[in-house]
Amino acid sequence: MDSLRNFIDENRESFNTSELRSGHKERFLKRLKDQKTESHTKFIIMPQWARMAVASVVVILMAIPIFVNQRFSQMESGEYFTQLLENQSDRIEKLANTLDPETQYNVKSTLRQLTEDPIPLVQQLPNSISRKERREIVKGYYNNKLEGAERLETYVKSLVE
Amino acid sequence: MISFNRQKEDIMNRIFGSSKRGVPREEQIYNECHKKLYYTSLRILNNTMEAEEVMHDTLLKYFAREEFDSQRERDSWLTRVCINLSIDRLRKRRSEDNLLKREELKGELEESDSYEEYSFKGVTVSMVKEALQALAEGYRVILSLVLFEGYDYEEIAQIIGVKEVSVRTQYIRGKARLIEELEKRRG
Repeated sequence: MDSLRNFIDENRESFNTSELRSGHKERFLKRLKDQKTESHTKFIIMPQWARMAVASVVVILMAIPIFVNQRFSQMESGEYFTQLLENQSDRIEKLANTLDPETQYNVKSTLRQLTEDPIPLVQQLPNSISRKERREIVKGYYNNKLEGAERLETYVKSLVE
Repeated sequence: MISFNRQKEDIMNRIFGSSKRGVPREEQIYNECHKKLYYTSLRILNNTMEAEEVMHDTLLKYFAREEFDSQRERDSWLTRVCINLSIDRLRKRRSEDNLLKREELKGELEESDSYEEYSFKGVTVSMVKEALQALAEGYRVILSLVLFEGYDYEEIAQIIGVKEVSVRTQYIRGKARLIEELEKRRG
């Protein structure tokens, strides 16, 4: 038996009788109000550079979906791949211009076969397929053409050198 | 039915941040908890002004964080934070890392249980309070945590950062000192 412990247990309430200093509650409520104001104004008192950084991140995050959506639309319409193919075709033509007329004719003829579509593929695709399926088909079709153009460019470069 | 009404009131309080009677929730919690926290801190710090500040700091910490699932969990958290903040203050006050390293606690008292059966006949609460206040800080902290807050030696060892066996030893020594102080007062 611990008689001290028993004594305290029996008189527990009597130990907690001393009065708190007057105004303790008002002082607390003031500190609580200050704490709330401080947390509320944290963003407002952010330094200029931090606000600029936050704003930049927000703009980037908002721009990403727009960019992705635009790129997807370009891929579905074939516009993106056509542009790539045109750029490559221009490079090959410039290189071919330095070759003898017969080789130049052969190269340009091969190039035309790669780049010219009597009826563009996208116009041949049915409307019922999904956007994803459309992207996959267009991508596969133009990848073959781009690979062919790549090989042709390598061949022409070897002739020029 | 009473339980259902309490639940309903609690949900309303959480949504609207105040009770039906218009007393803000923070004020209600303050009214409920401040005394216990104040006395807990006062017993450790032995200073009314600092005890009030710690009590305020504890409640401000509480309001800055999320709600607890139960009142019991909340009260236990509040008490623990209050004790930790009070002990931090003691350490700052004395610039000591370890309360139990203080010279005044290294007395040559025999570890004995002879005070277990001490008779409190003629001893008053105010005498015990005075005797507690007269003790060295380390003893006062351990006696307060064991006798008033109900912590065991293991928990106190974790709070203060010493071995459990040291807490037990200091408890026995502190109790002996307390009884010596009581004897002086009883004449």
